[in-house]
Amino acid sequence: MIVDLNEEQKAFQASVRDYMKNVMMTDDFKAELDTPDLSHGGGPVYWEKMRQLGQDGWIRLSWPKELGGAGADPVQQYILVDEAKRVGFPWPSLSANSIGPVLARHAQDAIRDKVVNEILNGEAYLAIGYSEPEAGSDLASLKTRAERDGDDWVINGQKIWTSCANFAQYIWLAARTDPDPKSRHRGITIFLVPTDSEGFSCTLIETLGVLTTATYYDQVRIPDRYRVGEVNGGWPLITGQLNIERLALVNYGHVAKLYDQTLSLLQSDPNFSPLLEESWVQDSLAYAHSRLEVLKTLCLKAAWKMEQGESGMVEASATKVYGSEVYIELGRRMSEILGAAANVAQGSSMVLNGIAEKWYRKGTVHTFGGGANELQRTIVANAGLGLPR
Amino acid sequence: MNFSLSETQQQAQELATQILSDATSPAQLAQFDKTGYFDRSLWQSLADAGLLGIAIGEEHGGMGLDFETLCVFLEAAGQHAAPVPLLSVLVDGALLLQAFSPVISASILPSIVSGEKLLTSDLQSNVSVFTAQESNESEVLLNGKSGIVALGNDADFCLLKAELNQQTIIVLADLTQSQCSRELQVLTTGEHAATLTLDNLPARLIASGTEAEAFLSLATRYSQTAGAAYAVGIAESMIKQASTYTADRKQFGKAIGSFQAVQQQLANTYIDKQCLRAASEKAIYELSLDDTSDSSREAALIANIWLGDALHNISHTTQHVHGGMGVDRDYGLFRYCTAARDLELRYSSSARAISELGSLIRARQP
Ligand SMILES: Cc1cc2nc3c(=O)[nH]c(=O)nc-3n(C[C@H](O)[C@H](O)[C@H](O)COP(=O)(O)OP(=O)(O)OC[C@H]3O[C@@H](n4cnc5c(N)ncnc54)[C@H](O)[C@@H]3O)c2cc1C
Repeated sequence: MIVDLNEEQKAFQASVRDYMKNVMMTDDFKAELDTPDLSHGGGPVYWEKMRQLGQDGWIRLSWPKELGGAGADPVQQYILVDEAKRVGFPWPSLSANSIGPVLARHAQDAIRDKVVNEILNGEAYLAIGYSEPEAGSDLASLKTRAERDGDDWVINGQKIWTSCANFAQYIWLAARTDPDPKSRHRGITIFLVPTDSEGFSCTLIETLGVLTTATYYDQVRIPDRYRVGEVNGGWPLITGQLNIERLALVNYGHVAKLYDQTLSLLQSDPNFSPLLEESWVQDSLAYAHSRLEVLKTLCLKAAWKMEQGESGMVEASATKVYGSEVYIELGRRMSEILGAAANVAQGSSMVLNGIAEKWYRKGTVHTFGGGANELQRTIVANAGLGLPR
Repeated sequence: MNFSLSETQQQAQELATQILSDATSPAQLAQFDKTGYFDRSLWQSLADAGLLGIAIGEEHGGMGLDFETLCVFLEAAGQHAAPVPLLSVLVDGALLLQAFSPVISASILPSIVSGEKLLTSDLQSNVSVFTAQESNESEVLLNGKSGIVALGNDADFCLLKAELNQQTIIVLADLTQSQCSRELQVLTTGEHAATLTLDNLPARLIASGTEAEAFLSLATRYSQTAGAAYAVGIAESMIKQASTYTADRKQFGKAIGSFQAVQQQLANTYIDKQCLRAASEKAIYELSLDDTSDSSREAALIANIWLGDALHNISHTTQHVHGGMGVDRDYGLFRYCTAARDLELRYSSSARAISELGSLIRARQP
């Protein structure tokens, strides 16, 4: 057994780390990401960085060779996203890693090359339009309707929490094409809706943590070539991709960031270093370290399983529950160490660029997003333990 | 034994609830999210109803009721996520000032009770460093810099601790003087705190030496206990919002509140909240009995531990069972979550309080 990366993978990790730190996270980009409205991306520097990421081949890297990619394995892909998130780069995981390849496989010839190139070159972002006000965990009950009209489809309905739609070029939209309520997940089709289509609109939703949007579709007319996959064949496209999203939500670098930064503050800042002598502070650091070491190994193992061609569904669900709950508890423990400064949102008393304050506000999304933890535990119980449904 | 509220306490609760409900609809609260989360007209209504003076002596214009009744009021405020700095002004400030300095109280507290002036405190900080020089018998000159002072940007007066000839002293400073400069610090709740830089600021001496140490010890107990009472109100409301929402919200053709997994989690929030309430009641009782006793110090620490543990779990769980709605700023839950988070770190965190309690147990005589 080898519970670590091999030399080649380590070298790859070092090169990604260096690139992310020095080429991507430049001061102007950090400043832009600190502006609340642009913290997800969408600003001018963001697009510059995306295009450079594309030119330098990083987006292409994880794609299969037959789709125009460099064919990196799941471990390399994991390392790439992990390192990007670790330094706070808004890596377009959904658009570039999970949906992009599905699109490349299932889109019609008439649009495939154009959109694939835009994604690989860092010129296009795909926002995900699944959730609706009445369809969240029960996604198969979605109502946004697409009706055939000659060569076109006419779309009507509303989506909510369509993150990044305010700067995306396309919405990867799940719409109902069979209105029979009995059809449920067998009546859903995926469309790619250009955000400059007439009848499309988008309003911002401010949440506790991040900015997202509601999107509206009022007689949006798109040619049939923007349909992805078979009519009524959307469901497998959705579920196939959620597995990857699930892991990306809680990967190690993303969750470890707060601990890493708190520890280095304690080690380097004389105002904080006396705290290292306190037993309760040592306790919390040890708690964090022990949880995170395991998370790191779990994530690598899940990536390795996928590399071996296994689906890793039960592992992905278990890791998602574990990682999201560690995220929450870690936020608490590290903030207790940082003290009142961890609650400063703006001002010179803010520590670590406000990471702990934001952590609390962004935390809960991890436990219900990407499939609520209850549903993940049900997958573990049914598919993993064979318990009756 | 008697866990019920007295008639006076019930009246105070009703009065507070009525005024607070009228002023805290989500639309009303939204006005203050980006402007310091402080509704001055609500503050004045509370003053006009006499509630700011609920636990302040009649000789200073207050109602002269006890700490227990003040806590009933604080719980009601917590239930409404009220955009008013009650903990800073009434507990950390006025309650302590009244206990230690009749003379200064007489000159300051009437203006607090009337709502005209604001008082806060920096006594719990382990970051602030102030040194004092004697200027006359009852006054010192202060120099130094504070940590984060709640309400520091708006308060007129502040209780501070400083060092004078290697002794701790407690003073009251007038922050509106030119020798005090403030730098705004916006908290996660939107509230305006500040860091203070004092340059020879005159301040009135309240206590020194052992008396000052006693003052600090009392301040901690009262603040921790009052904080827990406030936390009970926050918890009650978060749980109520989650129960109402999940009973109504349907997915998979059923109310999500009918799923066992959701029910179990919400039942746990109820259990946490009951524990928090019990710890808070016990601490209020011990303080009322003898606020200098070892039991009251312990009970306050335990209340503080429950404050941290219960609010952390309840805040996360109630957000979680709401799904996306829970974090939408057009829905009101998030204000309770940030208020909970503020309280969790405001006095002593749970982790630190557990370690302190451990030291107390170790020092006990068998
Ligand atoms: C910031 C943010 C960004 C988002 N980004 C996107 C995006 O880009 N695209 C997109 O399509 N969606 C997005 N979402 C939506 C997200 O995927 C949904 O919030 C999630 O699927 C949960 O749905 P819901 O919010 O409707 O909650 P609900 O489905 O109403 O569920 C609420 C809670 O009910 C409980 N529950 C539900 N079903 C069950 C069950 N069967 N058994 C036990 N318990 C259950 C769980 O506790 C759950 O957390 C985003 C949400 C947020 C807040």
